[in-house]
Amino acid sequence: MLMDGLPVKSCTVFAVQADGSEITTTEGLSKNGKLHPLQEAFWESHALQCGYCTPGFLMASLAILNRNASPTEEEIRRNLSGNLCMCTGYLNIIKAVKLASEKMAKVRN
Amino acid sequence: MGKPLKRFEDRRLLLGDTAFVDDLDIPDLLYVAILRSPYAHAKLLKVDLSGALKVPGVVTAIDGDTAKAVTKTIPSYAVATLKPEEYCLATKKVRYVGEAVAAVVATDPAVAEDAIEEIKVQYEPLLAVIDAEKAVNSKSNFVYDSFGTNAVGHNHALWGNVDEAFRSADQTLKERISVQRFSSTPLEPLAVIAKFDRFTQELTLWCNAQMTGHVMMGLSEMLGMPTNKIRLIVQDIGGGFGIKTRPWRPLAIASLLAMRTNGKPVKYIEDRREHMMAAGMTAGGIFDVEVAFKNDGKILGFRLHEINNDGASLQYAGTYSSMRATLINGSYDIRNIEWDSYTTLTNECPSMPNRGVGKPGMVYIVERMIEFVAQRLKMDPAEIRRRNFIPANKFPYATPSGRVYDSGNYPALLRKALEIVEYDKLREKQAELRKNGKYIGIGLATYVHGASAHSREIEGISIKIDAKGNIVANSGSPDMGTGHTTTISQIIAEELGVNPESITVDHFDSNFSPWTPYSGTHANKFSGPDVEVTLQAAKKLRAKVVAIGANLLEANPIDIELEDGKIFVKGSRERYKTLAEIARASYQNPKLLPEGVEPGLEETAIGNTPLATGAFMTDAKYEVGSMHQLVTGPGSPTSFMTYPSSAHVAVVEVDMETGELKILNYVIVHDCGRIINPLIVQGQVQGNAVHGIGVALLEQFVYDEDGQLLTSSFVDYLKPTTCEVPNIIDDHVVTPSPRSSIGIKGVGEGESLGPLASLANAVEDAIAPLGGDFRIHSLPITPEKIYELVKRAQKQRNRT
Repeated sequence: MLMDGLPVKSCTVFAVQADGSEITTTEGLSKNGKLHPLQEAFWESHALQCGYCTPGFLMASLAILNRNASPTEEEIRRNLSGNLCMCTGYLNIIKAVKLASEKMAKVRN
Repeated sequence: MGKPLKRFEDRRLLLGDTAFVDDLDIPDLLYVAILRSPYAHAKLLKVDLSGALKVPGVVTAIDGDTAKAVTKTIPSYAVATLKPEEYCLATKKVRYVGEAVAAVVATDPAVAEDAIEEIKVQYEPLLAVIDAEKAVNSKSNFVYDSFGTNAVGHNHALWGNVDEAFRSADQTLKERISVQRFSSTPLEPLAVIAKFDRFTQELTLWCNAQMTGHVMMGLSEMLGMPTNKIRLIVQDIGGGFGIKTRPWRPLAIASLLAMRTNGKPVKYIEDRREHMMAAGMTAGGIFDVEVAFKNDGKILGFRLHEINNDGASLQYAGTYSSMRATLINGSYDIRNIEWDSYTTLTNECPSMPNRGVGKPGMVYIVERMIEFVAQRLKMDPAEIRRRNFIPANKFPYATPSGRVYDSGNYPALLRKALEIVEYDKLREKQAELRKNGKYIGIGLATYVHGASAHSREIEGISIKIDAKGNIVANSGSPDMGTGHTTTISQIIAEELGVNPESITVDHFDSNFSPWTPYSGTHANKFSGPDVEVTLQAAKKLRAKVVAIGANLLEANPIDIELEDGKIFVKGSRERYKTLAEIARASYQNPKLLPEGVEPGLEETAIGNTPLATGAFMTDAKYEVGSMHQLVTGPGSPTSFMTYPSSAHVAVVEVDMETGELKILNYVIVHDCGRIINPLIVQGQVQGNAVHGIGVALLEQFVYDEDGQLLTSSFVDYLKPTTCEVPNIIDDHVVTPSPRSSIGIKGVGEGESLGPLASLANAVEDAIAPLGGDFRIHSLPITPEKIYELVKRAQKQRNRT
């Protein structure tokens, strides 16, 4: 999840530590049922299979895109290496983040 | 069909609206904690639960005595000659670190964890049986004392004329290679919620089990309960890969506890460490292969002696070994084979099916063997394969072990893969780089894999067009993230001419889903019976819709078409009926039904295609051994319905200073027959391949000499991350399967079989010019191993 915009593992942050912080989870990405460009990108790129790792990857990817709107593949790989996926083999996830950065750029323009 | 549709199940998963066991909101939950053995091998003298029962919040606790009194032993899948003695909780002895000894259920997970520490257990430690090669011959210190041996299985087969092959050979060579114990480690661990209604005597289980039908049959047997009093519900599964096939231990423990809480549901979710210690892993294998060949590269025959390490349980002992007989000659026309396979128990985690079961090992053996021969003959590895391939015109091809490959074109696979990688140019580049002290290697793997499950497996599905014309499908098989929901929808949509997104596919519920003893997902089964029954049921429904539509439109059924939710006469699209109108006629106006058409629009299909029977021969000479029931006979579980195939090319660079390996390029050309959804297929190809790469380079379960598991978390048991995966280029060749009514084979295991060999071959190809002994004997291929090989080769070179 994101804590004040930074990616943290929810299982290793005590609730008291989060007092006063803004917490964003996967559920906070979509607005009124409309998917966030990142979620759309994951969907179109077939970047999820069982879905178990997906919330983690979505939030970690968002953190990357918040810091750098056009990350390189190298940057994406490095910054997602803390998240494990057993189903997809990662290539579509990397593709999805690139696609999301394009989508988000369009939204901004 | 054939379209790369986005998966319909994804929207819910992306929004976080998941239904994994831990997500389920069941009221009044109690929580289970399991006390596990700290010893690999010890006599279990006494278990005293009284301390735990005194802890406030603890509801009840059980140990092996309860299990023995009210449940049956964990059954053996392959070994038929020894009687299983193992229960879901340990009795008499503990046989692996992490084995469940006692279980507690409490109002709070933390209370449960604290309570198990109050259980007093008396152990008498014994020497751990760890070395499989020693275990196979041990005359004392048995994992199960009553067996009188640790070697619980022995398969032996002699096909063709092996002695003659060796006599007429120009050369022979002998090598020992081994494959480590590993697991695809599904991210979601085993999880179950059990609830027992003491009034109706009905047990309800919410579980992430893959093999729904097997669990219904087996749990009923183990608990002594009729299947119509067991309700199994399977919603989302966070990856299965075989490890969640038959999770007897957590299921039985949770069920027993649920029967002792006055009806309150109990929840058990293992943590990562428990999963690594006890959920299951592959069998390890030590392979001694001796091959006889001609100087032109033709392989005349080989002898394979194996020792399989199946850990501490009879549950799947012998399965990995038996599965190898399926692909014993790989993609080559080799008829003279001696196969001598031992299965031993050790005090390690029990073996469990995992992506491909014994097939990755067999592919590894054959693809390394052919590489050794190519090296000895200084022959191009692509050329030697071409000289040994089963030719494209020799299908159906009966292997020496009596399995029948349906179709394939292995030369075409290899040709395409080499084209993509620009093989000839690459060899030139390799030579150039060597001159400048840069070492790249090219490794091939060309192989067959068995799919669409074993030929006798059947599945069930029911498809309903309800009274308002809306479509619901319910399969006996669960979805574990491999796209079943979307694929089933695509098949039904094609037959009924509707938008696939409009179809609802229910999750598994044994009360409503038409399950068979084979129901579940494993061995790429979906492409076999699941697809077949979906087609059958959909076609039956279509016939009914057409008949009713023809009647309503006063036309000939032959002229009726279904498209975009409309039913119309060919050429007159404007005059149509909708499915809702058809449904209204069917359910509410019997006068509008044609002669012979009954009310209602619901069809259930249970079975497979009759074409599947082409998968086995009745007159083959089969291997004989203790695993008789698994490997022999028509309809053998290891004779697959279809046989996909692949060609992998790995291009690597080896750093001679550090032993570090970089994958520069990875090409896969696969043949899974006709493709229903290219997006889903590519996802499977990539996911599979990365599993294989992980096994080849990173993963290994390591036990010390006392049987302590040294790799019980992802810190020590290394998985591929985004930093390790190469960009994989994939393409395909299509040879439809004559055994599938739509020509498909399976995808879901296949590409995990190749990288073990392709990467080992590539590394040897890179180091070979140094001379000396560059043989990689064991996996994973770590930087340390490469470094040692390079240093040794350099030393040998400096001496000469």
